[in-house]
Amino acid sequence: MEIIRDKKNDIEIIRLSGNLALAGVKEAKSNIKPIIEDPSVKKIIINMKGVKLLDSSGIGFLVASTKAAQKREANLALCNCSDDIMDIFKSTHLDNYLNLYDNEENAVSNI
Amino acid sequence: MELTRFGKYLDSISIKLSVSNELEAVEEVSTELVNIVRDFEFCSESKLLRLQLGLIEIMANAVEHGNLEIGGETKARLLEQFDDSYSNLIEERRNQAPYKNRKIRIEFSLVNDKAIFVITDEGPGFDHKKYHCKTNTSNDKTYSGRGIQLTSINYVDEINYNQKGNQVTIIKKCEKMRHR
Repeated sequence: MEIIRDKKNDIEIIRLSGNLALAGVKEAKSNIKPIIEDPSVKKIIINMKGVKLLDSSGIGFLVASTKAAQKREANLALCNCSDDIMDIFKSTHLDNYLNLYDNEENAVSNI
Repeated sequence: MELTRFGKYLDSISIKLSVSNELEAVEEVSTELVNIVRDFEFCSESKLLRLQLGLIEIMANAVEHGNLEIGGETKARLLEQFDDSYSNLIEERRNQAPYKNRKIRIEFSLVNDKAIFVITDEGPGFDHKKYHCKTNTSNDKTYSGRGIQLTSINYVDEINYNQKGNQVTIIKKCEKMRHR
C-alpha cells in the first residue's frame, strides 16, 4: 500500500495505491486515522485511483473513517474509484452514504 | 507457484494446501491461486479480480470467525472503536490454545472451465445463514459483515457451506478463452 499525502489550501488529500484489503487496511488506518482525528483538519479527500482490490475490511475502514470525520463535523470524500469498486458500493448501498466524486478536481471544488 | 511456462497446455489441476492461520497469508495465498487460474487463460481479468475478492473474504472468515472463533458482533463492536482493539484480539487469540495450532485447508481444482475451492477451518462452525440473509439497506453503515453476501452475490457463481459451518465451497465459472 502506497500512501501519498498532499495539501490543497485547507484540504488534506491522501492518494492510495495498492490493495485496500487486510494488511493494506491496517497500514492505511495507521496513516489516515491521525489525519481524520486532527481537529484542525476539516476537509479530507481520499483519492482511490491506485486501489485495485477493496475487500470488506477496506469497506469497513472507509465507513469508519467517514463516521469518525462526521462525528467531529469534518468532511471526508472519496474520488477516482474504479468501476469495480463503484459496483461494490452500489451493491452494498454505500454509494448513497459515502461522499463520492469522479475525480480529485471535482472533489476539491465541491467538498 | 509458477505455472506460466506450461499452464496453457494443461487441461486440469488439483492442489491441496494447508495454510497457517494468519490474515497475512490470506492475501498472498489468494494471489498465488488466482495466478494459477490466470495461467490457464480461462478467465477475464475482471472475473479474476472478483474471484480473488471472494477468496479473500472466505479465507479471512475462516481465520477470524472459524479458527479464532471471533463472533460477528464482537468484531463489529471492536471495529467501531476505530483503534487497534480488534487487531489486538486477533493477535491474542493466535497465541492462545485451542486456537493457535489451527490451520486452514484449501482444496483447489480447475477442471471443465470451473475453478473450485473448498476452504475448511478447524473451528466449531458458525451460523453463516444470517449473513446470507442479511439485506443491506441504505441505513446499513456497519463496519463489518458484508463479506459473505458480497461473495455470494458479486464475486462467485456458487457458494455452499457444510452443515457444521466450517467448510465453504466456492465455484467460479470461467469462459473458454482458448482452444484446446
